[in-house]
Amino acid sequence: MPGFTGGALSLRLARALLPAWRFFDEIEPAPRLSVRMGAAAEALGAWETAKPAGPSNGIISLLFRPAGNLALASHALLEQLLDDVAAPDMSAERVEQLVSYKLVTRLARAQLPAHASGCYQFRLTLEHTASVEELLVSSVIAL
Amino acid sequence: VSTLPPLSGTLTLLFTTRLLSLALVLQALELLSVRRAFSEQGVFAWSELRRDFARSPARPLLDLLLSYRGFFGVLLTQLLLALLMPLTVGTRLGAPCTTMLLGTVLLVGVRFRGSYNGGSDAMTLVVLLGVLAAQCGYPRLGLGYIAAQVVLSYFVAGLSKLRSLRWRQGSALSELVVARQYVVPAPARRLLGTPWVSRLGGWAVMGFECAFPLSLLLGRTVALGFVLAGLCFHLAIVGTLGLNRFFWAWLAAYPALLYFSEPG
Repeated sequence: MPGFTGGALSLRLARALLPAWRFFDEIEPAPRLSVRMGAAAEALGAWETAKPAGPSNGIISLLFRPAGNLALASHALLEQLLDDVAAPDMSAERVEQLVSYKLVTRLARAQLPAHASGCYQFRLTLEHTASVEELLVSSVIAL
Repeated sequence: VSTLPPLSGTLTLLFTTRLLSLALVLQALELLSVRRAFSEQGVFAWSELRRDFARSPARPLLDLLLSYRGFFGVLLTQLLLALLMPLTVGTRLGAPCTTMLLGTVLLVGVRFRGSYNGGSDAMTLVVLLGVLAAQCGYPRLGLGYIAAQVVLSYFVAGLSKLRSLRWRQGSALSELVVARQYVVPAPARRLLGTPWVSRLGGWAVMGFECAFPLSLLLGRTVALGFVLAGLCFHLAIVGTLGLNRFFWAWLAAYPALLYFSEPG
């Protein structure tokens, strides 16, 4: 069934139970989410990069940083989607049925004004020193 | 240092459960304050996530526990149990309370497709499992598991960095502070963007992490030094990358390390 990722979920849970304890050993460019919207599919505006949560805020952040940690959990969705898309038997139709795709669609929608109308599209990119690599572009989604 | 009383297993378990309680209370409160994110209007809507369990016989139970209301209840339960846990140490309620807390932390992991906050979730689980073993009558096994994992957490992280050319060359920290998923305060970004600071900082991190096993081998004074250095290390990470949950999870693991750093 498209989108069934029970095995992947078990693997992720196993990682939490049997941690690898490797932090920041490979520092690669992180995927970025951009969103554009417009009144119609032919009239979409410019790509705008989703804003991450605000910076650490001293002693308060030590105790309580809910928006920052949510932003990190949301960013992990981008990496999950790229992992899922990289599966060898993945087709364009199946990509749009992936749970990770649906969640990133919601994340992209959350970047737009609450009462926005028309349609929108999102993409995932990797920013290198001198270029931007486009990894995934969604279909146009009605608001 | 030598005048400090030795840490008994009971005292170590008490310190550990109090610090773990604090970590779990903060984790629950943080998630409760962003509850819109796991409502049906939010990014982590259960109606999407439940498709991960399309073939699972546990789906009806997960629907009950991980839908918005159910998950809200799970977090409130975690909050309540975390507040109670230090009071249950040494009583018959200790093991059931810790088991239920373990259940709530695992449910949070399932709700967020494996983990909510990576390594900090893993260390929280490690400390919970160790406390559970201790509460079940195996204090040395439980505390030993925590101490071993906290040493491994630094040592493995240090070795894996040593294998990386960027870390060895000294550019890793300067690249990390401009990574898009972290919003590093401008002064820290400027400081770590300076090549010699990045190089020195990188080697200091690798040296600290790789040397961490010495905390178990060279006695209590050395262990206390490593713990203090670790606290500074995690505070610096909170100040730069904002990873506050790591600070509290690792803090909860330190009493076990100090316990095993004492001879005999």
